[in-house]
Amino acid sequence: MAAVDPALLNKAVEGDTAALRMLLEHFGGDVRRRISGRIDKRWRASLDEDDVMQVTYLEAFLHVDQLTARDGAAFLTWLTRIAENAIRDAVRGLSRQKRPDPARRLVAPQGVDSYVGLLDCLGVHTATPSREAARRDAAAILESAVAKLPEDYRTAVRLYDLEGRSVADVAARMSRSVGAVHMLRARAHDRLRHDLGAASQFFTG
Amino acid sequence: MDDAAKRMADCSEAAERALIDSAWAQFEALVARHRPHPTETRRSFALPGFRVLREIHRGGQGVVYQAIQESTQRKVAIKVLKEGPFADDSELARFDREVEILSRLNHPHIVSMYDRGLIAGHAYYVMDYIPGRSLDAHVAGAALALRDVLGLFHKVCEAVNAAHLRGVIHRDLKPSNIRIDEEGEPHVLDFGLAKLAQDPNPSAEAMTVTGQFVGSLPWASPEQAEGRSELLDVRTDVYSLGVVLYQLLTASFPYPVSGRMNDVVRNIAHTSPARPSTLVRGIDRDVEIILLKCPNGAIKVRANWPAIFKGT
Repeated sequence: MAAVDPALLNKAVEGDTAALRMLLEHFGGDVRRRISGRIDKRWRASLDEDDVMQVTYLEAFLHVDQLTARDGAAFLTWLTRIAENAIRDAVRGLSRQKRPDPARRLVAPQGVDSYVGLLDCLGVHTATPSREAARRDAAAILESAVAKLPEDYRTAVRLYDLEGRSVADVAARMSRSVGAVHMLRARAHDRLRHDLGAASQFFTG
Repeated sequence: MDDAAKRMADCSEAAERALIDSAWAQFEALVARHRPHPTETRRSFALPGFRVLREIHRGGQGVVYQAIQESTQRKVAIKVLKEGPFADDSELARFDREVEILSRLNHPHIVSMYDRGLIAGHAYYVMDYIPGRSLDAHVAGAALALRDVLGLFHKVCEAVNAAHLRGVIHRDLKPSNIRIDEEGEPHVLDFGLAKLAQDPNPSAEAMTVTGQFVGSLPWASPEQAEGRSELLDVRTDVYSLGVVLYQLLTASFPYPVSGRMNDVVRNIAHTSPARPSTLVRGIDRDVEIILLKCPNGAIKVRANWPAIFKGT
């Protein structure tokens, strides 16, 4: 692992995304080597390292505020952890796909119900005077939150969660692997949960 | 390195840069789409000795910024009273109470406050910045075993118990107010709705109007949901912790929390939780007994959590 300029790291820790980009170019290959072989052979047809690395890089930009590394080794650890989380999300999605829960997705959700379904999936709850108002609230609030997602995350959520398409269909439309779709969706849900504040927007007095 | 190996290395670097460029382009597009309106930018906060990086939360009472303390290069969070010099007496009193409460607390799993003050008419305080995820996102994302979830939860209970021993009732315990840092340690946040069990300032009680709900409904105790502020004590927090644990272990609430507010309040007060063992496998009887005691409508039934958890 080559040495890195401490000033560059300090800038990245302060939120300078141009500095972070340079660090990603410096350490990206090291992370790829670390995760090489971590994708089980069962999933290699559905997930490759390029998928993992692209999500890793996007997550690094989105979470630069959580970067506290002061040396190259700590930065490499931080970035590797992001990549490992991405692989875990993809594998979890692929495993669930192999063993579908009979209670889920019997019928593809439609219209406003798909927004309510997504809110349920995220664990976000509303309490408004009427059920119809609650459904309208869900649609409006989610539209706003989904619009704030990065493009790949937004597309995965729209196609799968809101339009009810199959993972294979979503993968084909996005020109990505099935594993990548699972990863993108998991990351999108994480971000939506954070932005929606798990019901705190609706109830806090 | 021979020519073939060098060409391969160059191709690999170019491919890696292409992936980074693609991620960068998405990130830049996102920032451009949601760049703050100029009037919002004018509302950004400046504090000598700190380099304010960005706004991270805007709530009913205050705005929280992420910043770096220049003398130590430590990342901190600064909460600022939103109305600034236009805040009325009750808003200032509520903010002061939050500061007073935080200043009483000193525990490794409760966010620490470092400083407070007034600048350009804006009341503020400086506290720990906790990077990481909320408790429920962490548990779901890390796929923790039951034992690890209970271990994590025990630390949260110890923190809440420490607050109770200092006479502080949180009143808004929920997963998003418990953050897990990069080392996997929990931190209880947001004492903005907290009250002192024995408040020396009688007028503080008047801040909560009788019948007014204060808190977050899915995690509220029956007495809290019904706005019966005179009944709120440490067992209110015990109830909320019970709901949080139920949620972590079963990925559901003990009763329906969607629908009309009146229905939800009725569910909280009168619906018995489903037995967790009927929802997920692997929850043993001892844990289930504890779990069913705490989100219990009858205040006197709620158990003393930290003591019970030590035996689990």
